[in-house]
Amino acid sequence: MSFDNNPWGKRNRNNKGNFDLNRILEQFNGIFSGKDGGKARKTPPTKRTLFILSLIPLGLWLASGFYKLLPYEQALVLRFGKWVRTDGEGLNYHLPYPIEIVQKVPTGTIHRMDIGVPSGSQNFPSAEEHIMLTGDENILHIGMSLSWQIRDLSQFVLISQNPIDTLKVAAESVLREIIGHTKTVPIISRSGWGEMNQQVQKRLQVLVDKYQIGIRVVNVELHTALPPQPVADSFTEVQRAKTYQEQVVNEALSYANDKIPRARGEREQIIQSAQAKATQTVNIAKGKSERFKAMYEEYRKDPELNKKRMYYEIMSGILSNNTNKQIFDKSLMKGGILPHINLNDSTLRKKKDGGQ
Amino acid sequence: MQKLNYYIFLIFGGLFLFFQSAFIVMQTEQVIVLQFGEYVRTIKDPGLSFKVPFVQSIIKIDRRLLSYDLPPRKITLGDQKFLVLDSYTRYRIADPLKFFKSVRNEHNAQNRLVPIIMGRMQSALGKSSLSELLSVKRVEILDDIVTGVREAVAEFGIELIDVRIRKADLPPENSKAIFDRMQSDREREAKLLRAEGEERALVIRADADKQVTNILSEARRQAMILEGTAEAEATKLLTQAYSQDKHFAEFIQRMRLLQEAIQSDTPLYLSTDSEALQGL
Repeated sequence: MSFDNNPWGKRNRNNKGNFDLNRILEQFNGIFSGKDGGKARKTPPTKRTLFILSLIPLGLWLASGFYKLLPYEQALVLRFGKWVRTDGEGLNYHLPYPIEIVQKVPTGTIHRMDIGVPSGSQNFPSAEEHIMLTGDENILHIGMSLSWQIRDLSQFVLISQNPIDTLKVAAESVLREIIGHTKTVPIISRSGWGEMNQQVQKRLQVLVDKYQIGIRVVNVELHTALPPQPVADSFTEVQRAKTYQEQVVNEALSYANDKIPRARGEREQIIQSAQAKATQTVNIAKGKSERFKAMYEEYRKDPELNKKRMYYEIMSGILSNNTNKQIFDKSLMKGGILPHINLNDSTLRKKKDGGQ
Repeated sequence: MQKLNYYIFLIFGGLFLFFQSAFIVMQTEQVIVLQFGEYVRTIKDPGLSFKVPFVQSIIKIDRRLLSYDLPPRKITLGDQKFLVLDSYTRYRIADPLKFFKSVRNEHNAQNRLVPIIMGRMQSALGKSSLSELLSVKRVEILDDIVTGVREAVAEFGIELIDVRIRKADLPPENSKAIFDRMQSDREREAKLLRAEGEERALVIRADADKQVTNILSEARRQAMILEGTAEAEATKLLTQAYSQDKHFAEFIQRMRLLQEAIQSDTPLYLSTDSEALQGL
């Protein structure tokens, strides 16, 4: 053993390992042959030993049937190609290959596919892409996204040749059918989307059930509805016209809102002033009548005298205040000439006395 | 030693025979068994099956739902419009023997399906207009097509599940005309919207003006009533007072008129004859 001093001690260990293995084998042989270990070394294996040894691969073979499934997985079990059951999550067992084989599929996953214009695409679709005919024979670019899930794994795998493709063409067909029943405006304005989504989902599920491809349509969502580029401008023009409509109506409303309250204010003003005027008229009349009554009371004691007195009082008031008066002598007027004396400058104390 | 060889031969021979006679029919398949080319039986049950080795042979035929998307085809409608139809079909091989005898494989079957489906489509759609095809009637038309095709393909051992139109587009040549129409439609709509806006605005304005006039005239009516009532009251009061002595009332009023009519700067030409100046 020149390698005994090997710093790695590798050889040594290997030797030991070999030695151990040998010993274990011997012991096994001993047990199987029913004899003491060590002494059976040269004895050939008996039939019984071979039989028991052959059980080991058999056991391993049988044990190969255990398999686990994650919560989102299901597995189809096929016995000689015939579907016998579908296993769910946890530890499962199938008869070992080649009697049974399993096919694991993540059935929990919700898949998504785009029909028509892909979702999130920024570019305007080209003229011939994803166009669909609406009920009033217009052309629009439509995009819808569809989520689906495997409902029945055995149907999904075994009944249809290519279920996903079938789903896709069916979805496209249903979408076009629904679009073909709908007018352009509710599609463009998105007001009809909710109902259309429901219709598409319902009809698609019916179709998918008819094909028995084991798919559940989870959700259908329209995401794009665009007019083709050559006519996009005229659709914007409609939007502009709508805005304009709102604008002029708002202007008119603000006109009405400006005028009517002002008119109500003016009404109050007119009525109030008329009331004031009416009150004034009545009050003045009352005053006049009271005044007359009072005057008359004194007047009638000597009508002649009072009449004269009042006349002269008033005339003296008028004439003394007047600064633009001219007095003519009656005798001068006979010749047709009108001589006049300007009394403006004269300082008269009394108009009766003033003059000539 | 010879005995051992014999066993080995027996085992391998047995295995060989077993693998020659046993076969697996998958869930997705069906099998017809032929004996020297002559039909013996059809196996539709999946699982392990057996046949006579060497003498019998098997042909596996799909039993799943098969798909075929038909190539786009131009079709003339009843109203002389053209439509490019993209349709698909889903079918199943119901009778594998008939299928094998008449078309042998899926590829041939599809080649046979195209003219049948297209012929039915043309004859059914040739009678209907585009608007019908876009209406709810579409389902009816398609159902007719499916029924027709289903009968026709039964002789190939094919069970037709569905024929549907996937796309129905007007040919590109027509796009220009449609775009023009769409554009004029939109422009018409926009014009209408604008005019309707003006209409509503005018109605609102006119209504506002009317309300203003109504409010003001109503106010004036009330004002006049108030004034009239006041005048009446005033007249009543004055009549009551003045009727005591009409001459005096007239005199008073004349005097008041004189007082009010002659201002301090009103030119007065007085004759010495006048009553007030008679003293001169």
